Amino acid sequence: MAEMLHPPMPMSMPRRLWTTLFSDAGTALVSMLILALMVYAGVNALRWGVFESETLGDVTACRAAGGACWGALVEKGRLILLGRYPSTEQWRPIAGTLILLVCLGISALPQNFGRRGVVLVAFALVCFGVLLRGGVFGLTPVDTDLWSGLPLTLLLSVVACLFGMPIGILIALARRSKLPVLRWLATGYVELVRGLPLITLLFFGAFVLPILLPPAWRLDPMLRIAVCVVLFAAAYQAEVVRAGLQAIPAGQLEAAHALSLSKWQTLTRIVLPQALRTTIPPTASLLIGTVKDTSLVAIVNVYDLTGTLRLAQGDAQWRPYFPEMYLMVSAIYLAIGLSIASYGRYLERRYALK
Amino acid sequence: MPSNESKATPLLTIDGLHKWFGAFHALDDCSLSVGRGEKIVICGPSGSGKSTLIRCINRIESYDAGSIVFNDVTIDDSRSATQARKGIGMVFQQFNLFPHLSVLDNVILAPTLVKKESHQVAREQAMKLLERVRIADQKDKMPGQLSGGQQQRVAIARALAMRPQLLLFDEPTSALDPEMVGEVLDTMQDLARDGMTMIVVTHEMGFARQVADRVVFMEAGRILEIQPPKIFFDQPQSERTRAFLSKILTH
Repeated sequence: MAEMLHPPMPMSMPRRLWTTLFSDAGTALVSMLILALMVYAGVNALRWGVFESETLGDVTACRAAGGACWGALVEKGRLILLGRYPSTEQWRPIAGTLILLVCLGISALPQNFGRRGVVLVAFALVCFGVLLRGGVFGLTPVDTDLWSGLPLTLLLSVVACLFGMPIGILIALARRSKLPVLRWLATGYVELVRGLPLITLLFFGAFVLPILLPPAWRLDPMLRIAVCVVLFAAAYQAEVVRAGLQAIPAGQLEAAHALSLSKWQTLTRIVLPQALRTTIPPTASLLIGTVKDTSLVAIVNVYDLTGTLRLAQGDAQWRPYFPEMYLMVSAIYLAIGLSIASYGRYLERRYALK
Repeated sequence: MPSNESKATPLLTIDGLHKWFGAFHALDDCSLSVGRGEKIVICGPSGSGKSTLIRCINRIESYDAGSIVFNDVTIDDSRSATQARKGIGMVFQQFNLFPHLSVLDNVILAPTLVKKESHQVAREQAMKLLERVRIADQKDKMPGQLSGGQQQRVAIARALAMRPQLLLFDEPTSALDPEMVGEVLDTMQDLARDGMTMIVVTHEMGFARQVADRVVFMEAGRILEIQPPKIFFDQPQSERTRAFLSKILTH
């Protein structure tokens, strides 16, 4: 046998690219075609987005330019971001959103998990509500109908994720309960909500529920929408958590029993920490999905980020420049999605079961 | 070696125990009493009910007839039994350490939660126990970073942290690589020397011969023979025991 005294040398990056893209005639041809297409698309994108674009908020200038009209964002950006909220009071949704984001960021650090994080987020939600609603501290009251745009999308997303998660955990536990009634109720709930499109639930919450309930119970429309989104997210979260619960070996419960841990201690110290760890990846996907699902509230005349996008297109003068507006809204959703995904990856690494 | 006088006040009395899994008669009229400081080894072919028997002792399994009395308390689902069970520790075949907690946290979890010991006290005691099982230097590692033998020694320390009067071992070396069996058996032998009352389900006949006060042989859910190791190995009384021993001792 020939001797091999050194590990094989890793190939340099350009060399590796060369050998994978142009290893033989067929591969080389396909590579060339794809590269040509990419170059063509890239050049066009640059021409549209940069060289022939117009950044002035002026329709005539945009018509002349032929490329992208970023001026449309200058003109309509405020409407898309803040929607119908009175523009004289626009510092309030901006401040509320910043407080919410900062507090979320701080409570997302592992050293703040637990009571401190919960208190912080609750504080942020109260601040957000007080600032946007007004009526106290000399703030002019603003009806929740006028809450819209990015602050509303963030609020609905945060509420759906934060309340959907614990409710989902409770439903998952109920599905595995020894009490048949509890189990049937939880299973029925999950199957019903999963089987319905969110849009029908939102319609139900927005239009049917007010007819069914006594007038005194009529909740604020925004609250009804939020409840629908939470209950929808909870059903999906329940299934994710249930998968995590099922993955826990019986031996863990036996060990907890042998050490005389109570049922509650076993659940909170042994079962849930492990179940939640193993379900970080699907939970992150679910949260991203929930954020995007909030865009469906636009159907029931609630103007979230996609709703305000439609409002902006109501202006016939600027309507031709909808791709620019769509790009802006997409970029915001993408930023939120990527943040959740990378936070999920961070948690996964931090809490890996080695 | 404790003998007759300790048997006069048994720590544990199992009397006429029956257990069914559906139509399968897992335990059939099992009776055994264990004195303070006594070491019992239970052996027998797989499926004979050994594990089921010791799992009944700390109520991981329930039983259908008969009784188990530990420290004068009947072990059932009552509050007093739950209280009494704190005096029974258990070591499992698959270790069952909590994978999300460090070695040290595995050991101090139950003392702080169940016995409400302060973190400081629990930690000091845990360090002593980890030293006793010779694994104190690994205290900050996660269980998954340890070898099987190391994990099992941590599991022993974790059981000891509750200061049990009785330790149950359910095939503690069966899931280990051969080179790690010795370190776990050594640790168990140390415990035995210190006077711990132990009931051990194992196939390690060398351990049984050296450590056990009595060896219990089970088959098909029945206890067929209870003998001191010398008699058990050299002059087994039942035909079934002889057949079993000839199978496992010839290799």
